[in-house]
Amino acid sequence: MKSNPKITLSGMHTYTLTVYGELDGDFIATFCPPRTRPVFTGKTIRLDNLQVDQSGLLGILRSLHNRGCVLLSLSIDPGETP
Amino acid sequence: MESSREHAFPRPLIATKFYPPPAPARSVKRPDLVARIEEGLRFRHPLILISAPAGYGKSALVAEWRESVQRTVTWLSLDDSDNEPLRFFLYLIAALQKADPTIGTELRALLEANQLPPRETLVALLTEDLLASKISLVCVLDDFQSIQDPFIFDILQELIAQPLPLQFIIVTREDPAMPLGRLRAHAQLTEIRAADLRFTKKEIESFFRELIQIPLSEAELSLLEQRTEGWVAGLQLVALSMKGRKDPSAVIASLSGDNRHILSYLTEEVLKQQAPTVQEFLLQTSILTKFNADLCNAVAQRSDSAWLLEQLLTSNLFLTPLDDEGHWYRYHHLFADMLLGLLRRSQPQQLQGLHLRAAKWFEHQDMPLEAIDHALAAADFARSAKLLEKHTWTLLNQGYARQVEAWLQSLPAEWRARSLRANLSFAWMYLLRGNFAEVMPYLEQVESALETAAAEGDLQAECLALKANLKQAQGRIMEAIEHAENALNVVSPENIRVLGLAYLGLGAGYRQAGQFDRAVEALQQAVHFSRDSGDSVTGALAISHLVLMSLQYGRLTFAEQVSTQMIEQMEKSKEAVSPIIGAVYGALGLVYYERNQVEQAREAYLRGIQLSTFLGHRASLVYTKLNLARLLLTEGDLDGAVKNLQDAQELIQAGAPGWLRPSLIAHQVEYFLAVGNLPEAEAILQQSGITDGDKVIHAPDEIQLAYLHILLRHREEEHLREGIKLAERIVTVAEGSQRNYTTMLASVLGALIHEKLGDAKSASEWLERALAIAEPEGYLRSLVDKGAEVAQILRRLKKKTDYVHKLLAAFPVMERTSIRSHPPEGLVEPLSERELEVLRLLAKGTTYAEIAEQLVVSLNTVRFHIKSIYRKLGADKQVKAIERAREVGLLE
Repeated sequence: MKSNPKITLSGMHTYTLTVYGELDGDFIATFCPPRTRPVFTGKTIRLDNLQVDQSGLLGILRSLHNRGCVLLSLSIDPGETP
Repeated sequence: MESSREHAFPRPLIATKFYPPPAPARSVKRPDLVARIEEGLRFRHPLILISAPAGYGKSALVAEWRESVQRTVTWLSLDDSDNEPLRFFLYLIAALQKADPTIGTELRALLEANQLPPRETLVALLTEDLLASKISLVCVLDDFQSIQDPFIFDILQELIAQPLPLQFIIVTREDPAMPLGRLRAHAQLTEIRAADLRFTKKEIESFFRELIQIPLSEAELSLLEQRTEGWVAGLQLVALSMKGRKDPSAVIASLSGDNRHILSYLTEEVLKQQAPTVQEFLLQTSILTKFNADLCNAVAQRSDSAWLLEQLLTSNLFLTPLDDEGHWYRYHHLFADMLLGLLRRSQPQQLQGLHLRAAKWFEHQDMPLEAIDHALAAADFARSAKLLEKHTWTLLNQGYARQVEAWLQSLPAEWRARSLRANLSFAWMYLLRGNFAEVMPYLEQVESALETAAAEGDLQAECLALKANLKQAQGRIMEAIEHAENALNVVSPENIRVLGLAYLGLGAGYRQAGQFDRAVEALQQAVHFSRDSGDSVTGALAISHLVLMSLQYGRLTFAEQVSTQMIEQMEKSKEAVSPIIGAVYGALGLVYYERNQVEQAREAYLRGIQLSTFLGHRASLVYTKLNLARLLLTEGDLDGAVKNLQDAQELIQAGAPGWLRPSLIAHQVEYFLAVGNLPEAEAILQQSGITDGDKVIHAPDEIQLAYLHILLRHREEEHLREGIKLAERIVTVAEGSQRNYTTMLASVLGALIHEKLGDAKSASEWLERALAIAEPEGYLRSLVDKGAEVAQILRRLKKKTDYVHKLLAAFPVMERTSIRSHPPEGLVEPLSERELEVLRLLAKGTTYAEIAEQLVVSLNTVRFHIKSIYRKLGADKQVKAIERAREVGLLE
């Protein structure tokens, strides 16, 4: 069904997401799943170790969008399925 | 001015949205997941989140849970049109009222009249009602992914954050943009996600063996689990595809690709197995988001739809009932998407005809939302434009602004330009919301169309009336009057709604131009026509202009008559009140105050403040708070006065109409003079740009009078002489335009300056001029508040009328009332006389309705008093309030 059978619609996966905008630590604590690690470089913020399923990922993207953040990149971390 | 322009005719709510879908008759039970929902509720988690992509059985799980418990559950199925705060909260409250009709009654009336209260008010009222409710509720919000509006999230977060007897179950395809991380960290969230919802191999086995009666081998089960990932919709389609096949295993073997591909493939497989009639029916009705047999007959041009729907239901073909009566249905969203995709690919030529027949059916049933949707899908722009012309205003008032705007934008430019009424409706909506910049594009569209087309006179008249109201709100008075007069010239006599609007623009224009009689005449016409046409908002605006203007012109009796009449009508009416009503209470309070009826004045002010806060009408709130500040100041309650002045200042800074600023400055000056701080009073005026007498002559009346008051407080003759000159000038100008209130106040201040200069004769003459205005209208406090020197001049008058005696008698009365009635020990704020009355009746066990009857007020008024009593006594329940009242000695 898939080239990588580990990646599924229902499963949790680990992502790295980079946005441009203003975010603070409070956003991570308030909206992100536990163990998410923010890395701030100027106005670019990278969210490492973002462990979510597809519905959760959509929700995070929407929250970032509502805060005026611009999505720069999104990648799935291979072999990091929690 | 956020409100509806016409009589509130709320469209009945769509009943199917509150209907909880029944658990599927044949399904694998999921006791572990049901137990998890229950556990979350037992632990008082405010939010149970069920988040997974479509087809994972989210709604079916909640339906199974609902049928297995004894809880009070309300259900609300959401769709894209609910992503507007006004509409969302109207439906949410209606859903909560299914369990307890007392929740949100006031809010609902407001929302039905297209008034969205401010955030704080909305939360406070809902919270209060929920706390007062004796029922513990669970509210299911299904298809919550449709909601993306930040205001809605914000309010829901507030409700979730508070310890209320309300818990939410949110069913969604994507996580809501709400602080789920915080809820998780505080163990306030139960989550059921796709990984929890996917069927295990054991459940797949049970599903095929028990429900479909197709036993599968271990290898087949493994393959099926691997291919479908336990995705319920996929499994159901596999089962349907297997029915009647000699080799069911072939279906499993044929599965390849991702979920979407499987779904598409299986839908075609399932369809192939149906009779041609059913296949055709499924494809043709896939254009409908909800349907009944009659609609299906019309769209598919057949007469056996009722029977076919029965067949689909029996075959478990993804048909979901939307009501108990079996009238309305919808297909499972995924199945509908697939069917529609198939229809588009296989028979695209059918689409237009199907949509057109649907549009006609909905139009005939007076269901404009659906009719417009289908008319646009059928590219029938003439019909779409006609429907928009007819229904835009009503739909805007029902909170469909975003949707109607999107429809209007999706019309080709030439049709949009022809939709004059629809554009005009948008222009009115933005004008009433005070958003002038947004008015212009719509108005320009109408105007340019009017230039090129031979438009009917009434449309032109309405456009002119709108411009008149826009211009007067922007302070462009002469243009406002001109547009209003032009509107009246072209409007047909039977179009009473537009007549009312044109007269409103004319009256408001004349008011600002200082033409009292003309303004009264026009505004009275506006009241008359708006009453006949049922346009309550225009009526309320005209009355508020009349009342505030009457006070400015010293017509106390007229102001009292008009405001009392409006308040009585509003109290009797079951409709939502107009937002401007707070200012009308503020004005009536001022009438009472001037006549030295201090307690009645206080009560009116407090009611005005409550209503203005509740309705989010900032201008009314500022106006009433300033009036209350004056009352508190004369009572010696300096803290109370300062608090209200500060509130008013903050509100003005946050954005209130400019005409309130002079009033604020005048009240601030009055305060500093009352506390003997002349430098600060002067500084206030200087900050507002009034540095000398030359500048003040161009300022509004209130500023001129404040400056005159400051001059009176000086000891130097030079200042006092300047005061005399200014008083003379103010009186001359005010008399010329009949601004009697200004004439009266300037005359009193002039009299006091003459008295200070030792000119007793002139002082008496000036005061007599003031009395000539004050006596017929019954003014007392404007004279009494100026101090003992006024009494001194009055006593010297040779001719002492009854009124003069009454005035003199009011001085000691004022002294009595100036000693602040301290609240009982332990209370921060005293209860008003009316609140004490209500409290005593409550203590006797009198019901709200009986109290309303005994005190001849509306039930809403009683509720307002009770809320105020609770607040002052620091109680949240009746029993506690009575207990507390006894403790502080308010009750025997």
